[in-house]
Amino acid sequence: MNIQRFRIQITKTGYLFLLLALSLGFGALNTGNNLLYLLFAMMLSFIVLSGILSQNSLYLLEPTAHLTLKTYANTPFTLSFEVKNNKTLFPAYAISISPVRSNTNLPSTFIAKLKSQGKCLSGFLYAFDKRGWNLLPNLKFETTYPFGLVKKFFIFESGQKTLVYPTLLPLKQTPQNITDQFGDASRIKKGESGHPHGVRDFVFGDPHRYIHWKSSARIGKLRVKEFEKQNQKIFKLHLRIQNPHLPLDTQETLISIAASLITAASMQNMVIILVINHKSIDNPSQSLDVFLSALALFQITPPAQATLEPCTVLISDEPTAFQEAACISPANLQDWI
Amino acid sequence: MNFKHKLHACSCALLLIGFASVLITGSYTLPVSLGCLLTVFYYFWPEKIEARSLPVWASNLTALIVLTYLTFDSFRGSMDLIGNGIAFVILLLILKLISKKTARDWLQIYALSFVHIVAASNISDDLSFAMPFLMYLVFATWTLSLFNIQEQARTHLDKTSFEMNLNSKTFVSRSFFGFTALLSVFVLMFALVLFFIFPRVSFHNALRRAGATQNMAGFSDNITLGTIGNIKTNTTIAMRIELPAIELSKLNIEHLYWRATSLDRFDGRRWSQTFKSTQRVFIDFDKPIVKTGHTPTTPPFEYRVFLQNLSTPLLFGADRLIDVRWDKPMIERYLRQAFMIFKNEENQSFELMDQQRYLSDLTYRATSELSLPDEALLSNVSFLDLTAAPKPYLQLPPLSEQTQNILKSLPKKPSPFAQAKEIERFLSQNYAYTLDVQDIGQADPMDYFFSKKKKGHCEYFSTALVVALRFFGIPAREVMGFRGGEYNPYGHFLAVRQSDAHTWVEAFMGNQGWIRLDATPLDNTLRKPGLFFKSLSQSIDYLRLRWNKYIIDYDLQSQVNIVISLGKKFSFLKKKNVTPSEKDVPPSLWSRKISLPLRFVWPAVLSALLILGLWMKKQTSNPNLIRRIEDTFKPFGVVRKPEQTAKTFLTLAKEHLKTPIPYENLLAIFEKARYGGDFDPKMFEAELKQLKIFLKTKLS
Repeated sequence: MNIQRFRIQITKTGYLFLLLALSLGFGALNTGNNLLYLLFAMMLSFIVLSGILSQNSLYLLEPTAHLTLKTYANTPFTLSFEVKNNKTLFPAYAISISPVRSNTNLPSTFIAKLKSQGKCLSGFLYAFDKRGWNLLPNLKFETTYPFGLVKKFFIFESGQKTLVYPTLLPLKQTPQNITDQFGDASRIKKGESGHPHGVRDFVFGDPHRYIHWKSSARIGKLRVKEFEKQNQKIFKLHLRIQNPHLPLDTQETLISIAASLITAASMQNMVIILVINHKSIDNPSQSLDVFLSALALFQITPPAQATLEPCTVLISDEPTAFQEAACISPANLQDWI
Repeated sequence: MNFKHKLHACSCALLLIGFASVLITGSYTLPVSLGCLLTVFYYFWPEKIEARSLPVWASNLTALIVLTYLTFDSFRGSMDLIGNGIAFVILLLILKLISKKTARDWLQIYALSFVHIVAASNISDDLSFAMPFLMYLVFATWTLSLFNIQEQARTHLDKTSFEMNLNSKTFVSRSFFGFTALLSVFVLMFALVLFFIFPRVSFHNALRRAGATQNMAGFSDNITLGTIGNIKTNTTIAMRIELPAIELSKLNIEHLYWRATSLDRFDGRRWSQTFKSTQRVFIDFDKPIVKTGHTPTTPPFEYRVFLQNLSTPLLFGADRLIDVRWDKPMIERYLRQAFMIFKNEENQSFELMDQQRYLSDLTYRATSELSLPDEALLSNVSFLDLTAAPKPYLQLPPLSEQTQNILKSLPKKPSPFAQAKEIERFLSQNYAYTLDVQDIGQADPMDYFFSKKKKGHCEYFSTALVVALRFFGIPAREVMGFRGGEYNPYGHFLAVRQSDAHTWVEAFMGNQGWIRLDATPLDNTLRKPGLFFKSLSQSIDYLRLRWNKYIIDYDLQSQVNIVISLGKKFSFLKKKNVTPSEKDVPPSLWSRKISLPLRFVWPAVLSALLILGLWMKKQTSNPNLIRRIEDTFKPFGVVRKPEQTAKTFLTLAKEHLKTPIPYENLLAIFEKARYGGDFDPKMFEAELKQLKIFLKTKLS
């Protein structure tokens, strides 16, 4: 965590106030009326006090960002954070918090009052504009308390990273429709219901309720139970993007289609097999997070000379006529989204 | 009370204080005052105002009509530009209050309320300004804080959350008000520090409304008998006398006489002056402005007079005045124009020129010799020695037979002094004091006093004494001024009130000059206030003196004095070998020496600061950066809307031009400048230049 030094700006009201004060000062100078000098001094004191109090309001505020597990690119989510007022006596008033580089037009959040030693959980809608590892946005804490004459602010850099999944797009076709055309026959596979199938190592995303505590205790690391899965369809998606000259937008759209199809397939309880540039993603637990993480971290790799395996959907950077699968390429994107 | 109610109540109080500050100066009539108060009370119930608010067009039209009338009146009618200006501000505030309001209107209302305080400072500089000023300070802190919180919440919160905050009863608690009131104290302290630091170099050019003066009937060159008696019930303070505590312990306050002027001609009803010719004396503020030529034989008595702004522009001094000096050199007035007084040698009166315009209250130091000449010397004066006195001092009005008989019955004494003392004793022992003098119609006042009523107040006693003295061939004159005063134990000064106005007599004693005689017995008829009220009144009076001394009369000379006294305190830090010429320069000359350069330095420093501020703003201004980015895209038909951020604008520009514009670095630099970070102007210039080249090559 890093808090940059406090900065100050005079607001529009502040400039008007200053103008009024200077006019009064000029009047005092002209008339020699000491009461005008007194009022002039009072107005200047108000400006000074405004600066001190706004500083005091922001002083010793300790923000902590809360990471959200699933975030998708270009999709607003609630970026929540906790703010603690570490001052022992003074409350903090009228603090607005906004991301420094916001790509949304959504309003920032506002804390009207935070008692001394008090905590407050707050948040606002935010959207990352690219998939992969993203730094949490810098937060701007500002206040014009008490008189709205000056605006004081500091920038909070959390320095935390979060993995952002690709954008989910609304698709014209569902994985169910596609598998009806190109899918594999249903067969018994391991799954999350039915009879026990076996025990394997725990991976991130496994439900905690399936942890096999006995074997975990025996071996010393977490193990989870696997179950048979009845009459499930297989959804095999092959993503092949190897052209480095492919426009960035198209590349991202293809990845987003892949993520959308896999999410939809997962919701329809299908068995998913994801192959990215001829490399299968190992995901025995069928955790959606594993697939989305793989897509989030996807990078174009040098072309590999490998033959295409049979699959349900082939997402490729070049138009491909592959009779055994539904093919999505830059040429026919409009048919899918 | 919830947040909304608290803010409303604070706003009402603020407006009320603003109105009150102007109204207590007494410059406006009762209907105007009532109108202002009623508006605030009506406004106190916001539902009523919201339901029946004045349409904006009606409000604007009313303001326009009144403004036209007041402008005409200011230049063709009453010529009271400032008074009309203040009246217009009052009207504007009332119109604003009864019209529909947005947040901006509220700010304007608060600003107008502040203008009321400014106006009040321009009308009156009495201590009565201090109370509204202090209250305004506290309520302004409360109101502006609450208003700012409300407006920030309105900006950042949705309507439901905003309403929830406004209806919260616990949001602002007592501790908030307590803490904010403490802040007002801080503001006051800081304001006072600034107040004392500002260099007091003024031009005296702009308008200032003439300050309210105390109407002092009876101190003119032509008065009817009984005028002074009329102000004997007025307890307003006319002047304060500050004198050393040691002197005070030696003095009998009742025997202190503060002389203003004298009258010589009495026609039976009216007193007037024969000797009207005055000598114009241009004042050199470093020398005594009055020197009577009296050489004291006993140690003189020095005192400082704080004279209120009286309608009678006369200087007051104790008996046997030696000299008068301004307490301050009044540098500014001196620089602006020559200042002078009118000196009447014969009457020994000193009148200030055009006091109302240039002076509010006046402070000066005077020296007098209080003790009377030795009685043995006075007794040696014979009637023959009195011929040197001008004839008007022996002038008598036609006296009735009864009066003459009474005067003839008085015992004859060998010397004028003994005769004068005999008459004084006779009057004070055989006649009684009363303020209850009925209208005597066409009757002879002296006859009425000597034979019928045998009672009267100081004017009757002094007139009777003058008549009696002149009857016996002793030149005499009626003297007007004040007697005594009330000792203030808090400020150790004498408060002389209008009720202390007094007339007495001066009799000519040849080579011993004029001596004071007073036949008026002490007045025991006036009701004395209770101990509490007396103490309260004395405390307020003490504050008033301090207010005048440290706030109203604070000027460049005071600043110089402070610096000099500080210099003396820290003299151990200074070099010891000071040249005599520097050491001997009196404070007043120092202030005069520095005042002229300061007059030009002070505005020059202000202007320089302003220019520096503008220059720095130009150098670091973020709007300037975004404007430059905008200008780069303008030739290609892309214009930024005010609500668009730099990022939105650049993204839209990219879409509009259908070209992948490499703006990321430029945006990063701009955002560093906008939101904090190490801004590098050179990098910005380089990136902007690259962008320009890119756009030209790609799009031309």
